[in-house]
Order: sequence, then structure tokens, then C-alpha cells
Amino acid sequence: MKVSTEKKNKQPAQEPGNNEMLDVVCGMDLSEDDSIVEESYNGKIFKFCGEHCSERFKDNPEKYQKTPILRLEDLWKTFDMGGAKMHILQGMSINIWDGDFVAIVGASGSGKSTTLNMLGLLDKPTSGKVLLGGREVSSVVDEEKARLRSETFGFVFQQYNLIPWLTAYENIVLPRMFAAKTIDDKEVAARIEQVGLAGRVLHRPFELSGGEQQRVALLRALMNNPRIILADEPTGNLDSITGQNILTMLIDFNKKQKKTLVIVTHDSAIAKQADLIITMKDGKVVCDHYNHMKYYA
Amino acid sequence: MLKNFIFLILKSIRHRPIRSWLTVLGVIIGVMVVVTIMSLGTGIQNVISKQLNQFGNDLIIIFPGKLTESMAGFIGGMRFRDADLLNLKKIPGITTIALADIATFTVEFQGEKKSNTTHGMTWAGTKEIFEQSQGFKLAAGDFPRDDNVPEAVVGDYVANEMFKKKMGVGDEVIIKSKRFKIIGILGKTGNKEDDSSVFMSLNNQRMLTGNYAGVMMAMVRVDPRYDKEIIAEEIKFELSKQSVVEDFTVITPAKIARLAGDLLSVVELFLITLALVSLAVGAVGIMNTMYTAILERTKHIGIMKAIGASSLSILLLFLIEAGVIGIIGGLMGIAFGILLSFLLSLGFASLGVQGMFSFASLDYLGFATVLIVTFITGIVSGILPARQAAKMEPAEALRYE
Repeated sequence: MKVSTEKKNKQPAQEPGNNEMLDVVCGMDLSEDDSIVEESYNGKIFKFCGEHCSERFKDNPEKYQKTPILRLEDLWKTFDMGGAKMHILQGMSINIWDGDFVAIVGASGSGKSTTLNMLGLLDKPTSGKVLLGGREVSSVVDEEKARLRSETFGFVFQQYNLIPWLTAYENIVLPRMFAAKTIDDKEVAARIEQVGLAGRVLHRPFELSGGEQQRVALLRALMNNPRIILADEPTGNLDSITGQNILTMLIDFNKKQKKTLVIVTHDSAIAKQADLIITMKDGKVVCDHYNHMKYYA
Repeated sequence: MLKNFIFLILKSIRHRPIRSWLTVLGVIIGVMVVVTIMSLGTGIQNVISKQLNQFGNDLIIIFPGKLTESMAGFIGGMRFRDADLLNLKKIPGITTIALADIATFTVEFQGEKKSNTTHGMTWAGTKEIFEQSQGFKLAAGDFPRDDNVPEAVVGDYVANEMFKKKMGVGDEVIIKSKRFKIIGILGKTGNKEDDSSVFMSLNNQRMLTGNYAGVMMAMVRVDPRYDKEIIAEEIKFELSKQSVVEDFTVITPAKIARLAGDLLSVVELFLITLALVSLAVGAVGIMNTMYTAILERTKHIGIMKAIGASSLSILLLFLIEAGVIGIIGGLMGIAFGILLSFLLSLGFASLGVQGMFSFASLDYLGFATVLIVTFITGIVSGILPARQAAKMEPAEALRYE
């Protein structure tokens, strides 16, 4: 393997989506960036948004020759607010690689949650593409989206988002009900035991603590054995110890089961543990993914 | 899958008990009205048919005034001459003619006074008409034999309920200072008016009213071998020759049946319209509840979609919920409708109208149809809100607070 590094001045602007101007690791469009890091590998030049992506590439260049498990390509999300156009995402392009732990960080209103919704097919982009394993999925029919959400993704939200009239157990097995799959009570019981919820499963959400509710939500997210967990501020409403427990469970899922984990967070401590940090500002990915660190320092 | 859906729907309905029951109540009222109309409709037909049989299917009634203004004829005091009516006996096929007059008097019995309708009639023809055509049975005593003796026959209500003391054969009542001996008591006829009447001879009534000039009406009994419609035409022809009562009505049982049928159709049409309006109100209730339910559960729809529920699943969840509300409301509406019909029939019975309701004559197939219609109404009412819920993007629904 031969990798050489060279820092260049800004390249002339090119059309978004042109692979020549994409960071192969994080997937962002480099056509408007001030500086680009270039690496040559096997006689081919690769461009990166900064040292971080370049280093990751050098660690495992073979990985980045494949297709990312998730890719957003020149994604726009625009809301019509009484005639005024509000651009929440502005040409967002990112790559998520299989088995990675990715943290999306940024100030409030920067578009983090919208990005997560786009990744999980919870929202429709105004334009651009969402690619799942190289397949464009943002425009597939609703039934197919539902199938993908059921089989591929598991969601964990800051507000837990449990169904209030169902018990903890019923909330946990709900994804299997919608997927019309059989429920293995023994397996479910084992998982419940594992997260310390035994004896609490017949309670309804309002009878559970925040930490218990989030554990229920986590078990629900894992119920259909998804490839990707998308978590939006999963510890945002929890105290530090409970939050750390939940985070440990999520990271275990990533490290031990080699599943992809994408977390939207404000917490630098969480972000630091990620393989890749995507920093967002005004609906775009900022060039240096670690820019956010100066805000948290 | 369907089992899971039903489970989720029942849980959801139980989560909002008051709202759910209010919607069910809307459907119950709609269905109850329909079922009551269906149940009593059959009863009304039975009662009318019974009344018509009691009226006698071999009788022709003659009274002054046009059919559409019959009350005006009576109130206006138009009266036929006895001779003109008795002259009709020459028409072949007529076996009996009974002249009749109606008046209202205060009847005194053992110091208690009550206002009563009295029927004055020529006994000779009346006895035959009462017993053979109208099926009136004497519960006690006999019919008078002499038109000039002050005797009277009373209805069941007059004898047993109208006065504090029960009346018996041989008792006396005082009408306009004249004593009348009760010679017979009629059995219950099922007709409140007949049961509350006092029957006396035409001569006696004329003596009480002081009006000897003619009669209000006549009942004509026809030999069953003759066509009543033809005889009615002949009666009209004969009566057209007299000039005392120019506008008169000759009515046959078939004509009464037709009139009653027409009346019943109008009443039924009105009641069915009322029932449909009630059902429509129920449907709007379901729609309103479903819309509110969607607003309330917008976020939950988002959650369900996020964890894999398809638009079709959400659509089905809401449609089945609307249908379940329709079915529960329908079943309870049928039960309450039957109960209401039963209670109403008891009320009618206390007013003297018997046989309005019977379990045997309930239209169970009709009820099943009502139930299916209610279920479909529920589903149709739920379609719009359910479609709206199903179309929502999960993120849009999740943002809803």
C-alpha cells in the first residue's frame, strides 16, 4: 500500500455529486472547500476534507473502496414557512460506513435531527438522494420504506417516544407486531433481564423512570435486529449515570455486534468516543469534523 | 397481524374511555331509533290489521262530508234522514243497516261523574254487527232487545276502570237525570275509544239530545257473496238522489285498508328518514372522534411508522377502530332499540293499544343488515381521517406536540 499526503489550495467549483470532488471517507462535497488534503493510493488520488478523514483512510483504505452502508448525496430539505423558504439542509453529503460509530454534532437548528431523519427514512428530502448500500431509497414506495425502517433501522429518541397506552413489554415487541413476525417470549425475557427491566415490563410508560423508559425504547429499537441504530440525543433527558448506562449499551451494540451506530448529540464526551464526528452548521457539514471541539473545550 | 391490530385498537379505545363511549353513544342512538322503528313498525302494522279486522271486513260505513274532510262533516252537523238510509235496504246484498249517532254526556255512577262518549244505535242491526262483523264479545249480560227501554251496554274500561267502583250488570247510571240500567258489559276490544264508550239505543240517545232529525252515520252489513265495492257504488247512487246531505262518503274495508296503508307508508317514510338522519349524526360523530383521535395521536402515528408500521397498517388501524366503534355501537343500539320498543309497547298498552311489540315478530335479518350498515358507516366515516393519518411522514408526525 502506498499513500502520500499533499495539501492543496482550493479547487475550482465543480458540480455536486461529482465523485472527483467527494471526500471518500465522510462523503462531503469538497468543491467549495478552502483546503483539501489529497492522498494517493494504488496510483489513484483521493481527496479529503481534512487530516482526520485522511488518517482514517490511511488506517484502512480497503474499507473505503466499498460502498458506504448509508450515503446522503446533495440533500436539501426546505420548508415553506408562510411563503418564506427555510433551508434546513443545504446540499448535505455524508457517508456512513458499515460498523462505524458516528456522532453528528452541531448547534441547535444546524440540521442534525433532520439529517438523522433523512438517514432513517423518516422524512422526505426536497431534493437529493439517500442511498442505502448504494441503492437509492428516498423515493421508494411507502410500503418499502416501512419495511426498511422495520428491518434495517432501530430508532432511539430523546423523548423515548413510547406508546403511552401500552405496557413496557407491549412497547418492546411492537416492531415485531408491525413486521408480522412471531415473538419469542424467552428471548424477549432474556433481553429484558439483561437491561435490568425484569419486574417492570407490565408497567405503562408513565409508571417508569426516564432511564427505564429509555431502556424500553432501546430494546424496542433492537427488537427486529437492525443493522443500523439511529439515536437522537438518547441521553439528553437522563442524569449522567443513567445516560452513561444507556450509552454503554449503545456502544456495546456497535462494538460487540459490529452494527452501525449514528448518534445526534450535544455531548462532547459522547462525540469523542465516535469513530467519525460529523459537525454541522446551517444545514451543511463543516469541513473540519473536529471544529466542534473548540466549542466543547 | 389482524389479531395484533385488534389488540392495539382495543387498547387504544380503552385508553380514551370517555371519548370512545361518547362516539359509541352517537351510534347507539342512531341504531336504536332504526331498530325501534323496525320493531314498532311491524307492531303498528299488526295493530292496524287487527283494528281493520275488528272494523269488520263485511261492513260499509256511510258518513257525511268528503273523506278528506270527514271531521268537518261531523262537526258541521250534517245529518242523513233515517228514511234515506233505511231505503238502502232494497239494494240486493245488504243484509243489515244500523243507524248510529255519537254524543258526549256526563255519566254519573254512584255519585261519581265522568264525561263519556255515547253511541246511539238501532239495536236490531247493531247486535248483529257487533257480534258477527266486529267480533265484540259480551263479558257479562246481554244486548238490549227493546229500543225504548232505558238500558245501556258499556265498554270494558267504563265498567272496570273509569269509576272508583266497578260497574256490574244490573247497576244503574244516570245520564242527563235519566236512569239507565247496565244490561251488558263488553269484553276488552283493544280499542281505547270503544272500551270507553257507552252504547244505548238511538231512541234513548235522541231523547237525551233532543235531536230527532236524522243520524250522523250508518253501518251497512253486506252479504259476503256480494262485491262490497259494487254495493258501495249502488249506495252512492241511491244517496245521490237525496238532497239533505250532498257531500257524503261511502267507505269500504278495502278502501280503509288502502288509506291505512298509505298513512303507514308516510309514517314509515318519516320515521326511516328520522332514523337515517340519526345514523348520519352517528357517522359524523365517528368521523369527529377519528379526526380528534388522529390529532391526539399524531405523534404516536409517527412513532409507529418509525418502528416499521406501514401507511397501510396505520390506515387499517384507524379503519378497524372506526369499524369496531360502529359494531359496538350497533350491537348496543340493537339491544337498546329492542328494549325501548318493549317499553314503548307497554306505554301503548296502557293507553289501550295492544300488540305493538312481540319478540317473535322481530326482524332479526333486518337487525343484521343494520349491523352491517353500521360497520360500513363506521369504516366510511373513518376513511378520510385514516387516510390523513396514513399519509403523514413519520418525522412530521413526530414533531407534533
